[in-house]
Amino acid sequence: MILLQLDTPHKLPALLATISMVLAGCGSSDREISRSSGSDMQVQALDAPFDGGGEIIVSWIEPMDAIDGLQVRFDGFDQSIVDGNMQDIIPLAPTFELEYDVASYQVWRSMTPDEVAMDNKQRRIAAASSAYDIAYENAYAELIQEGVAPLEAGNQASMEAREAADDAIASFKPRTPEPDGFHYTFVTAVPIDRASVMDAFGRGMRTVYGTNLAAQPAGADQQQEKESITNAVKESTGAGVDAAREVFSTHVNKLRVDKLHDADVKAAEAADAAWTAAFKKANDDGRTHQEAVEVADTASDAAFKSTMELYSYRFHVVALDDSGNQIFKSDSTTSIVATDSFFNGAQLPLLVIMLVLCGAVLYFIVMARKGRTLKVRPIAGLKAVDEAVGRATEMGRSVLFVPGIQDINDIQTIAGITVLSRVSKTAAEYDAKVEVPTARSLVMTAARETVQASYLSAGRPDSYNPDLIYYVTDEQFGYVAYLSGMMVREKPAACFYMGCFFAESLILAETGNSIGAIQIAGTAMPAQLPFFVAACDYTLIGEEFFAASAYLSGEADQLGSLKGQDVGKILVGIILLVGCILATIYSVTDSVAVGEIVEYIKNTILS
Amino acid sequence: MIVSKFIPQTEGWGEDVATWFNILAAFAFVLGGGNLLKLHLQKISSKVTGWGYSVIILVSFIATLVIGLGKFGIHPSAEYPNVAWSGPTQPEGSAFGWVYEYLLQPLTATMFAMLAFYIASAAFRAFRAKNFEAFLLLATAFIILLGRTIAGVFITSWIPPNSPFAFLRLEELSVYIMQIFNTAGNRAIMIGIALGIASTSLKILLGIDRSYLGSSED
Repeated sequence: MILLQLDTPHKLPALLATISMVLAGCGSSDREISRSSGSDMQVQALDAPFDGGGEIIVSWIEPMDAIDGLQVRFDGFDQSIVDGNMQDIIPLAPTFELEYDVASYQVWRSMTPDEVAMDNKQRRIAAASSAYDIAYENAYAELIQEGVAPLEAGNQASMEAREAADDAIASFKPRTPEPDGFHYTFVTAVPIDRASVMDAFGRGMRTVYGTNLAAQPAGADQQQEKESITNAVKESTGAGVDAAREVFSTHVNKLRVDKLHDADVKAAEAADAAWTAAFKKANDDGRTHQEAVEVADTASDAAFKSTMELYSYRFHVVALDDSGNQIFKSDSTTSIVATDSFFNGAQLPLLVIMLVLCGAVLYFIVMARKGRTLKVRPIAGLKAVDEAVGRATEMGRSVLFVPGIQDINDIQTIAGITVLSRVSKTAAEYDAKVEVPTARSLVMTAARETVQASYLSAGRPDSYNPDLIYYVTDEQFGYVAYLSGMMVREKPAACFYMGCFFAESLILAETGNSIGAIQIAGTAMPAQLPFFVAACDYTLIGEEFFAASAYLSGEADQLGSLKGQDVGKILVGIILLVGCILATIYSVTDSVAVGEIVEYIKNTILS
Repeated sequence: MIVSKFIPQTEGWGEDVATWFNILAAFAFVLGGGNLLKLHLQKISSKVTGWGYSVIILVSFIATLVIGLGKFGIHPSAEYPNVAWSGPTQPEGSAFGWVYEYLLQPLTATMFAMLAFYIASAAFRAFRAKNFEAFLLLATAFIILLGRTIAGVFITSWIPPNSPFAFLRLEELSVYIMQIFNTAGNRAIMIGIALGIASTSLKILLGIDRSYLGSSED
C-alpha cells in the first residue's frame, strides 16, 4: 500500500478561490454580501439575485488544513484488465481511493425570533407529552399491581401524569443560544465533490505517467510490465495529488437556501402598520396633521429597520468526517436579509419559450395578412357541424349546445362559445332551433350575445330567441340531471358538448347516444376525452378544439395563429429530443456535467 | 397576470383580478336567478309539457333561498356575538346545513353513482373488436382491467416475480402500459392543449378572435 503526500503552498489556490467567490457575487453589486471572519474555512452569504424572493446563496471554500491533508491511495490494478491488452491499462486499470478528512458539510442558519419561539413551544409540548406518557404508564402499572380496578387506575394515573406534565413544563429550559447570541437550525448536508477531484487527479497523474512508462525497458514479460506500470503509477501519483489539491482549493461549494422570509416585504408591512398606529395615536393626542405625519414617519422608519434586523440570517458551515464527527467549523457570517428581486430568474426559461411561441404566432399572423397561403388539415368533427345542424332541421328537432360547466374565465368555455357562434349561424341559415342551457350566469350572457350576432350575420335577426339560452344551475350534477331529463323528453337531433367537462361528460354523452342524436364533443380535459370518444360520433381532441375557431372562420389571421402553434410543437419536439438524448448519455456515462443539464431541463425548464 | 408570473412584486395582481371576477360573478348570479324564475314562470303560465317540474324547481329554489338568506338555526359568531347573522352560512345542525346534508348531497351522489352504469354501457360499445385497431384497444383494456383485479394477479401468479419473465405478470403489464404508453399519449395531448391555450389566449388578448363576444367584425 502506498500513501503519497505532497506539501503544496496554498497561497495561489487561496487567491483563486477568493477571486471565484468574488465572481460568484457578480451581477449583484447592489446586494449585500455577508462574510465570516477569523476562520480557516471562509463562508459568505449573498442575497440571491433574480430569485423571486426568500433565497440566499451560501458559498464556502474547502478548509486549507484539510486540503493540505489530501491524499490519494493507490490500491493496485484491476486484475482482469492487467491480464488483457496493455494499452487498455493506461487510463482505466489502476484503482485509487481518495483520502480526505472532510466527507460532507452541514450548513446552519440562525433562527428568527418567531422560529425560536415556535421551536421552544414545540420542545416544551414534546417534553410535557413525554413526561405525561412515562408517568401514566408507570402509575397505571403500579396501581394495577396494587389491585386497583383498571378504570379507576386510569383516572388516577392520568391525574399523576398531568402533574408530571405540569412539572415538565415548569422545569423546561429553553435551548441555550450559541456564543454569538443566536439560535441556529440545520439547513442541509452537502457532500464533497469527489468526482471532479478524482478527475483532476487522473488528468494530473496521466501527464507524468506516460513519460515514466515510456522510460521502461521494452520486451519485458507480463510480470515485468506490471511492475513497470506500478512504478510509473507510484511516481506519477504525486502530480495527480497536486492537481487534485488545486481543484479542491479553487472549488467553491455553493448552496441555495430558500423559503426564507422576505425581510423587505415583512418590513414594509410592519412599517405600514406602525405608520397607521402612530398617526392615529398622534391624532388622538391632539397633534396637528403635520406633526402626526412626522411622528408616523419616524415610527414607520423604526419599524422597518427593526423588522429587517429581526428577519435577517447568519450562516455557518461545519465540516464532518466519514464518521460524522465535526472536524472544522466556520465562524458565522454577519447578518444578511433575503429581499424580493425585481425579476424571478427561475421563470426565465418560461419567458423565453413564451416569447418564441408568441413571436411565432404573431409572425405567421402577419405573413397570413400579407397573403401567404396557409393549409389546415381537415378536422372531421368540424366538417360535421353543418351535417348535424342539417339533420336536426330535416327531423324538425332542436340542436342542443352545452358549453361546459366552467365560467367564462375558463379558456375552454371561450373556445366552446366560438364554436357556438358557427353552430348558431348555421342553425339560423337552416332555420333550426338551438338550445343552450348554461351552468353559469356569465356564460349565459356571453352565449346570448354570440347567438344574437350569429343570427344577425345570417340575416335572420327576427328568428333569434333569447329564451333558448338560459341559466340552469351552478351545481354540477343538478345541471346534468336537468340536461339528461331534457334530452330524454325533447330528444334533440344533434348535441354539441364544447367546453370544460368533468364527471358529467359520460352521463351526457351516453344519454345523447341513447336518444340517437348525432353528437360532436370538444374538450381539453384529457381524463374526459376517452368518454367522449367512446360515446360521441366526433370528438375534437385537445388542440383541435382550440383550432376550431380558426378552422371554422377561415380567416387568414386565425389560420396564421395555427401555423404559429406548429412552431411551438417543433420547439417542444426539439426539447424532448435533446432531453431524451442527454438523459440516455447520462444513464450510460454517469457524467456529472450532463447530469446537471438533465436536472436543469427537468427541474427548471419543464417544471 | 402574465407579468405577475415573472415579477414577484406583482404577484398580488392576479389575486386582485380573480377577486374582481368573483364579485362580478356574484352579481351575475342575480341575473341567472332572475332568468330561472322568468323561464319557469313562463312554462307554468303557458302549461307546456312537464310544467310540473318547473313548479318543483321554483318551490325548491325559493325555499333554499329563504333558508339560506334567513340563516335559520344559526347562532351569531363568537367574534360578533351581538350581530344576529354573523355566524357561518352552513354549520352542522342549521336548516341550510340540513338541506345540504340530507337533500343536495344524496341527490348529487345518486347522479354520480349512475356513472358506473354509463361506463359499463360505453365500454361495451367501445370495446367491440370491429377492426385491428379496435382489437388492440380491447386487448389493452382487457390487460388493464385484469391487472387491477385480484383475478388478474392470480392468473399470472405462477410466473416467479424475480424471473426475467416477471414483466409478463398482468399487474406488471398493467402498470407498464399505464406508465409508458398511457403517460406518453397523455403528455402528447397535454402539450397540444398547452400550445392551443397559449395561441387562443394570444388571439383573444390581441383581439384577433372576438367571436366569443358575439362578433368577429371590426
